[in-house]
Amino acid sequence: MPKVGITINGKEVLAEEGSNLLEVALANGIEVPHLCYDPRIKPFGSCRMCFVDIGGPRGPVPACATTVTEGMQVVTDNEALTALRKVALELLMSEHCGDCIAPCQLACPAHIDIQGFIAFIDRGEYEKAAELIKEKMPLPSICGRVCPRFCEQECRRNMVDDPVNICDLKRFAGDFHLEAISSYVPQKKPDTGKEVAVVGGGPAGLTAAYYLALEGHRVTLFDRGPKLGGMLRYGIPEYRLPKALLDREVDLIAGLCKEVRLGQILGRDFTLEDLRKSYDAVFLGLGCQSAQGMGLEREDMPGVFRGIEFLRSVIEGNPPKLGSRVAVVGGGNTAMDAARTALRLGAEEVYVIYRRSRNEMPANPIEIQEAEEEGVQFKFLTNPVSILGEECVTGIECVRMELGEPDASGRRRPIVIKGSEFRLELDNVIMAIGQGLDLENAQCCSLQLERKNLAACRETGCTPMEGVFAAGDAVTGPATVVEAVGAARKVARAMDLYLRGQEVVPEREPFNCSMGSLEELDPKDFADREKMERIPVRHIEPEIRKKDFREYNLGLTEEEARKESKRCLSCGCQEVFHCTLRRYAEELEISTERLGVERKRYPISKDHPYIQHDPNKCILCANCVRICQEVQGVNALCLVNRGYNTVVKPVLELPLAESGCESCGQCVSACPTGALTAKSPFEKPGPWRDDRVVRTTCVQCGIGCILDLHLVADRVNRVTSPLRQGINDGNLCVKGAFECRFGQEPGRLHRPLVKRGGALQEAGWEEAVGAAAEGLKKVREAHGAESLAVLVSPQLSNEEGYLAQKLARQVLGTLNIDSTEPPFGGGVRPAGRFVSYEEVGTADFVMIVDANLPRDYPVAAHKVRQALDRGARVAVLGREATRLDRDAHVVVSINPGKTGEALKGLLAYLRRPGQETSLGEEELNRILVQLPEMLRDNPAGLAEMAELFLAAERPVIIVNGHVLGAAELALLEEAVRLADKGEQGGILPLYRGGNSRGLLEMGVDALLLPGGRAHVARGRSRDEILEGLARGEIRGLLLLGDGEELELPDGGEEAFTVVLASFWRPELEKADVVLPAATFAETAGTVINCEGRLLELNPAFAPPAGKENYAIIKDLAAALGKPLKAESPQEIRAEMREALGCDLPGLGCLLPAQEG
Amino acid sequence: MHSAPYRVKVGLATCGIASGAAKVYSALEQALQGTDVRLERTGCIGMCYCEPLVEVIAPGGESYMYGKVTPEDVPRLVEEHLKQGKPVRELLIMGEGAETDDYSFLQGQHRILLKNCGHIDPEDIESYMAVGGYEGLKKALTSMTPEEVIEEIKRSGLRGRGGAGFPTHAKWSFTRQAPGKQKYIVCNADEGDPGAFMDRSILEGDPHSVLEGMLIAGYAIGANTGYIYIRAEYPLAIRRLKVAIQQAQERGFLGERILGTDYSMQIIIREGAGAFVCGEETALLMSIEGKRGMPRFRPPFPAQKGLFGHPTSINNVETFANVPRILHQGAAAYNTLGTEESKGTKVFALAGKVRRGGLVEIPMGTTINEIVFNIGGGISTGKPFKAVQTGGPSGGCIPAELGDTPVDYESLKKIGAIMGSGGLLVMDEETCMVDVAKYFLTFTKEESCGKCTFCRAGTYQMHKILERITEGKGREEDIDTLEELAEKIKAGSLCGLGQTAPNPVLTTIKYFRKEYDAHVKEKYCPAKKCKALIEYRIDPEVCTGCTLCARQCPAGAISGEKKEAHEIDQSTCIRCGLCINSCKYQAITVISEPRVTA
Repeated sequence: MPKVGITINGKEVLAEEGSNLLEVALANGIEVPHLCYDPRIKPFGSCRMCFVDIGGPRGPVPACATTVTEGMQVVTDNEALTALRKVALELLMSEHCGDCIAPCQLACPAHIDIQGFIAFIDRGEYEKAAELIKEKMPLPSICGRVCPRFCEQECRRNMVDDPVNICDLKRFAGDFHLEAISSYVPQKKPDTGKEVAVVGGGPAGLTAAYYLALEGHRVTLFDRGPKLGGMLRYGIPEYRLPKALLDREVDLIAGLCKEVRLGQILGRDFTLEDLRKSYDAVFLGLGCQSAQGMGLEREDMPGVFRGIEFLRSVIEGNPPKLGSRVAVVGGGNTAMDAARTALRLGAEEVYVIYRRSRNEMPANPIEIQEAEEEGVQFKFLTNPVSILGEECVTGIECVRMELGEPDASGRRRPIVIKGSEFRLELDNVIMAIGQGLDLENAQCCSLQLERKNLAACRETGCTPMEGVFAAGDAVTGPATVVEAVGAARKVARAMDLYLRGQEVVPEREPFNCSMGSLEELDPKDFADREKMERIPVRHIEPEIRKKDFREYNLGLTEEEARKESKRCLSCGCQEVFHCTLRRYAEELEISTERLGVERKRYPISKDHPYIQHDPNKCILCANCVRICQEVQGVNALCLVNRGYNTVVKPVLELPLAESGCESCGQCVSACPTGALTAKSPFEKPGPWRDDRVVRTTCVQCGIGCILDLHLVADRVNRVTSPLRQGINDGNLCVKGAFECRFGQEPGRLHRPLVKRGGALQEAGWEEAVGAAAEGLKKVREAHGAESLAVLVSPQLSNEEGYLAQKLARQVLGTLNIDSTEPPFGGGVRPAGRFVSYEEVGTADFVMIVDANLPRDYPVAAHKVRQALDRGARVAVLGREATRLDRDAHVVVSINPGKTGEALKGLLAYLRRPGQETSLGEEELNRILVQLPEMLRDNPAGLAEMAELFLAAERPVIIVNGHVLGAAELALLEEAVRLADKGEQGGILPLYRGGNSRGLLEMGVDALLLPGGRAHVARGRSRDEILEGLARGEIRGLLLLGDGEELELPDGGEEAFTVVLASFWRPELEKADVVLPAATFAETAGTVINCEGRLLELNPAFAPPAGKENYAIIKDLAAALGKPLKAESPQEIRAEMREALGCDLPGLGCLLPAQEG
Repeated sequence: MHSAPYRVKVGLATCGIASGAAKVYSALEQALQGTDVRLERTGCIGMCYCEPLVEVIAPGGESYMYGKVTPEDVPRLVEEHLKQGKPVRELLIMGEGAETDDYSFLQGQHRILLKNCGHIDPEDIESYMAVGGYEGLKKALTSMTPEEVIEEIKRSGLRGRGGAGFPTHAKWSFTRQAPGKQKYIVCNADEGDPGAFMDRSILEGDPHSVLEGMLIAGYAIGANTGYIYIRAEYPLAIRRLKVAIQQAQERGFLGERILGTDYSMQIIIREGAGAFVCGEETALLMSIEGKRGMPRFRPPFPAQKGLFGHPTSINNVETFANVPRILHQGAAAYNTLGTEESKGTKVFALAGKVRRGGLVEIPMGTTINEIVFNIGGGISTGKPFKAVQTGGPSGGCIPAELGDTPVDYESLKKIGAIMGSGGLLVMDEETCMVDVAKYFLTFTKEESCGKCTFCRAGTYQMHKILERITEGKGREEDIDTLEELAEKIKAGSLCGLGQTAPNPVLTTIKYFRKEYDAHVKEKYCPAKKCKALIEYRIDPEVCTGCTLCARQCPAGAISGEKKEAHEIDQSTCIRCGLCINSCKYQAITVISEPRVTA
């Protein structure tokens, strides 16, 4: 290809002539935002994102629609382009109607991925659930007990029945985590050598310590108390948060710190200056420790307590002695805690006195309710004006209040009703009207204040003092645990930036596109959701629980948690981590505020077995429509309507599954948003970030497509294929995209099975392998080695196949070895040169013989379409109609069984005067006369095909290796010879088995030894083995690798049968020993695809039964008394290479470089 | 010298038929049975405002034009004029004795293209040939090379009448030079601008001129197949084209070996299904190919890779209609008309608040004021002239202050409008410019093909904002947002539809910013058009209490005792305006007043 030189952003670049600018930029690592461009389909230019400047008079041009020309000067990024792209994105977002992130997560001050962790619980992955929570919140067990549940208020299930019990689910995951791995410490990053002081061991300090320590910093944690926990420990009573549990969760964090120094008070035991000198950064999580008073006379009289001090004294083990009548003043959570604690200490009558009404109470509604259940009496619209008593308190004088206009806080201001004074006789008064920063502390350190709080940036925690950061109640005033945690994690992140010498910038808010708040939503949209009652949480009865301090909320059991998790509506988008639209929105920092998001109400279709279609999220790039049409040749999707009402729908508005859709998933792979998604294999689809991605080769057929297995918690969550790589260039078919069995599906065999008393029963490896060897040996002794046979599935790797033929020939001593699906009927290795898929794409003539490419080998059909696009002539010769026929130039249908005759006819037309053929004049003449009877139509078509073939410069013949026989292959080979195309073109045989070609090369064949050398004596082929079984001549069979495609013949029951299989199927009842095999996703090794290319298998996980297939074969050999040297697939490969004597012919080379 | 009989012509174009011309024609047919008066059909002469038109040509050749003729008028016409030779004065709008100034409608024009319309019989090729039809084709085929034809067109200065004004010879020349044997000529007759009907009138009134233009163009570029892409909503035009094609074939002007030369050409009619965007050339080609009509990006231009991948020249009806005239009379005669850059004449569909609306043809360079006042006879309502909109939804609003702007490609572009295909909408003081912008955006947002982001979502958003503004819910930043969106949509849209869609908004903001501000900031509509911002009020001094309005009101919003002043309840009033039309005492007025905004 000729090249042209262009300049992109000042960088000189060589590009192929005729290529589009976008592809050239991307190939050179220059990112140009784009949504409607996919290298597999023709540029379309609808998204209007890939604008670049080429200095033309028409202004910016879309890169995807611009062909490179010599000397082109390209700028891909400047202010004007960014502005244009931003408006394009804003517009796309204005019609992209969906939730990126579930509203619960957004409502949570710590932004916990709630939908994700609930989905993990639903899957039974409780530890993964806790780990996911801990990415944002290191105290799930604690927070799961005390959180006011901001998330549940926004839960979309409110529109259906009651919100999901998120908080108790969080507690469940946290508790499970604590129980399961009490010694578990998350992986810390490598030590940075930076020293950090964290002052305060409450929620903020603990959180900061946790995330800083995980980043590899050396954390020293200071706390004033004798134990860590701060307000968690001293402000929350035992019955709500058991201290033993607190200790365990806090200890996990303490264990990550370099040092924990207790009993250390800032300003008394150390100063901020000391810290700044000795540490690289300081975090202040001082909290609001100081209880406020009301400023009444006799406030400090014996019998009057401050709420927080009262609670602390109880927790420290020296509760004050209370009388029988106690009043708590205040309406917050501390007031509730104090009142309920007073009850538990034995007070008979406990009042809560609050100057506003119930609606204005800042306490958690559930706490108010529980206090009431326990017998606490509420006196609303009441305010104490003085404390009565001489030496100790005897009562208070109160006034009644009424509510006036709303004040600055938005709550209605209480106004005294004149003359409403009354007295209340009491033994004790507890003032729980608020807490504040311990100002003494702050002032002694010359910390700057803002109102009554520490001055610090809410986003980064930066204080005016260099290197000093702060978060939590001290900055915000008294708030909740979850708010302190959320703030402290953000600040820890900022401190990490600071410690690494990077610019301290606030964490970017995650981009979110929203369907709207609960108020904005229409209940009708939720009418189709199934109602499921919220699982009630078991509580100890009020009458009993108020007598002691035991935890009364018993949490959810595992069963209850699984049930509750089912209630989650999975509001957030499954594609949130993969959505290109969202990525650009985040990168270009656009907002949906200005234009808003238009409500769309297309039904989400979920009736397809593999694909979910949500047109509300569609941005009309038409990638799906085009890939379905241009690459797949299917036309299942189309654009309907005009203007803003344009929408992608299945043709004729049919359900997708009935639209001609072949479930290839190409539309999903081309969709840049969450409009077309693969259905999750799990009931709750996450969203989850991939733990890892394993790249391997699909063995569902011999094409050899790349598969990327996206793993979450060691299970395959989605399958993709990378663009611009491998032979399939991102294309997959239904088999690769959706129908691969990785080994995690139901019916998996986990243990060997041995027939005992006529039935298969579980056994250990040793027993099973021993029984297999013993059985085979017995057959050999009784009937000779020729009564044994080995069949190998073409889904097994080269290494396994190579070892299997050694086992047959060297260990069992039989020549009866073959593939369960031998190509061309067996014993044939196609002659001539290998033809690559690439050559198909660039061929000028493609002849397809008896192969339904669109159905059986869609990725090969794509290559034919590529050739068609480039002007190739296509001929189809076959027994059945295929979807390529309508694009082909000549189509000839053959009557059943007449393929060979038709090929002879082709030879007759191909032959030029003087050319010798294997058929002889008479035969050729006969064929030409009889031809019309053999063909269903178009008898003249064969002559036309011959003409096209002869005229072609680069002809390729594609055949189905499982339909054609050896004789037919020989005729085609002769055709190539007659046409004399030299080194151009040739035959490409396609195989149904992922490693059919490899098994042939490895000598898994009745005739051929490894490397294709013919064996002097031939063994039985597959068909002969099956016949032998039926006739009782084969008495022992080893079937390696499932062999699902194989029908075991009647009469075979007599034979001793050993099967290596991954999944249970009823047919296995016939076997005597079943050995649990590894799937391809559990195998390391190589396969050879149809082209002859060597491709890698990489294991995604370990086989559940513990043994890889090669190891099972090795063990069998050993048990049979002839050990094979095979310690690893690598070792087998080394031997294989030697045995083959050379690199593989054609494209495939057993070169170490390709083994990766 | 024996006296020739009277000839009577009835305009039977769509506009005439819509006004009842067919009934007049049959009444005449009946009445004239047995007389020697020749009754003829013809196309539209352009005076759509007084259809049905009946022209009587006296034996001496004098022409008398009758307007707004009804079947009931026919006996009088026949009796008094045709039998007694006395023209019926009350109905006469032109010709000796006419008492109206309608003659100035035609007098102000310069009719080259429309010369035959309203005069010849469009369904009779003889009638076309009698006025020089197919002479241009003969000249081109028998005495000129294709290059010479292109050169002649170049000398004429003809530019594409589809709106953009691209030099016709250049398009032809590119197509001719593009490699490939198979080439196509395509006639764009997908006239979709609201209010534009020039192409229809030409096709209905003079279809052969378009065929002849296509034949000459086909010869020039080397195409043997021509397509006419015409909207299915023009059944009469389609029928007349079919008749014309048939006749041209019979006469040897179309088909194999035309006029005995080596040149052959077939013309195929393709009916469009009503998508405005199919007037865009690449979308039009997709539609002919049987695909969803969506524009694609250019390059490659149709001249390089057009219909079915072959070089294609796409020209508009009016452009083709110019071609035979240029060939027949010579480029020199043609290019004396018009301005330096814009040669020839342009046909406009004059509509809106103008006294004489219809089809007018003027030399390029005629000013807007000349069109509105001299030809159109000024504003129909008597209110002050406010603006004109040229070019339909792709064009711009030109304020009355710029009425002296000459109508040519460059001058219009300079002030933010475009020539477009020739719609010219006249607006008076009572027109709300925000409402006008909204009207055009309603059209473009519906007619966007949905392919590209800016056009699809951008026009929708602009419309949404305009709607908000006219409803009195405009926000402070809305005008800025409109301007930013407009700028980006112009720069970023894939095809002409999107690139020009913001023009009505941009020009109205530019020239009528105060009106936008009034809507947004003070929540009132100076033109008193926007329903949400107006009130109907009854003046109690004037109201007689006749109760008519109360009885007419469909919302029951008007109350009052008989013979006492009535009152309108603003919360129930739907602002339909029925009351104001029913009031005989002009007691009801529309009010829109600036409101203090919070």
